[in-house]
Amino acid sequence: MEQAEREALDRYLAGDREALAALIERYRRPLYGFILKMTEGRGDADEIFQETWARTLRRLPGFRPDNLLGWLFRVARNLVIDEARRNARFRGLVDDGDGSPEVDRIPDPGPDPARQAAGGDLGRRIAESVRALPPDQREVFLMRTEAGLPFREIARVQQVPLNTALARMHYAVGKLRAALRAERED
Amino acid sequence: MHCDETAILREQSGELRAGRRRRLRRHLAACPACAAYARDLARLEAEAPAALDIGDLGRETAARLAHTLPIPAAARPRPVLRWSPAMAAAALVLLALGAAQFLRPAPDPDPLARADPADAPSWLELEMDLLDLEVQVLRGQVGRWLPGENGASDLDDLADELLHWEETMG
Repeated sequence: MEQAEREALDRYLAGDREALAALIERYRRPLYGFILKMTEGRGDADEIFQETWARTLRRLPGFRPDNLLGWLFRVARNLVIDEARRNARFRGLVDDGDGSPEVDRIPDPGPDPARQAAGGDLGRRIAESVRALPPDQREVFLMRTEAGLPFREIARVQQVPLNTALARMHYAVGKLRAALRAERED
Repeated sequence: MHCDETAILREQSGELRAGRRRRLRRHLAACPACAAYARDLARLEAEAPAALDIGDLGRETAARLAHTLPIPAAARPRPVLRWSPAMAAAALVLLALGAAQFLRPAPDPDPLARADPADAPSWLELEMDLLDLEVQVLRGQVGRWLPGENGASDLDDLADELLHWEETMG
């Protein structure tokens, strides 16, 4: 855990609400962005974001994660999967015994509000390519590029071996390189 | 070293150990495919944050959340006690009562030791009191055994007669 993060947590635990506000805002882009991109079209990103923080803070007084952002991602990811389970639209797509991770079976999302924020041809291509990635690869790519989490932490979040997390990133990069090739050809 | 893209990924994330990093760099210098992979990866990692940026999305939620989430109970500031005139007056009264209690003479531990023998009841009076008590008990017990329309009043009369006889004979 970074020194600044540890200090902010200590201040929050001492009752400083401003420290909490700073932490939430500091991690808003990677965390809210992750939730938004993993729940696209379902409109429950706000709810999951709030619940992620509420659950994390409930555990904090007696528990200090090595990596707060990694822990937030872990909670958020579980909530995304739980929401997908509860959502009637996804009924029948989970627990069908085909052996693939549940998150892989979340259907292709709808319109991406984040895409409107991305500008430029390469940016648009990257955003579209990321959106088209299978959810497990998208998760790894987002956690790595947006949150800067190390692969060891990403593997913990996804509860998979390190090599699996690396392989997912490798597949994602392979697909995204197409966006770079398209840009070079233009 | 053979081609290993996962080593390039780990190098990019800063998770490759020094010895492995040196070998990877030698390999990248000799392998154009892996060098291109490393260049593309670096480009993607540089471009993706801007491409995927959510701007202000979630900012309102985050601000609202920061003001609604609880702060730890142990750290919550305690309310400050403010004295009002009424509270001060009540405190003074309590203080005065406490002082009065403290200054009052101690109660006599054995009042019988100092009683005048002339005030003591006679044996007859004590016996009459005892008889009266027995009659009251008898009334209650018989009344419970023989409940009836006139039972209670009849028993009362009987008890009164018995009491009168005892007093006369005593």
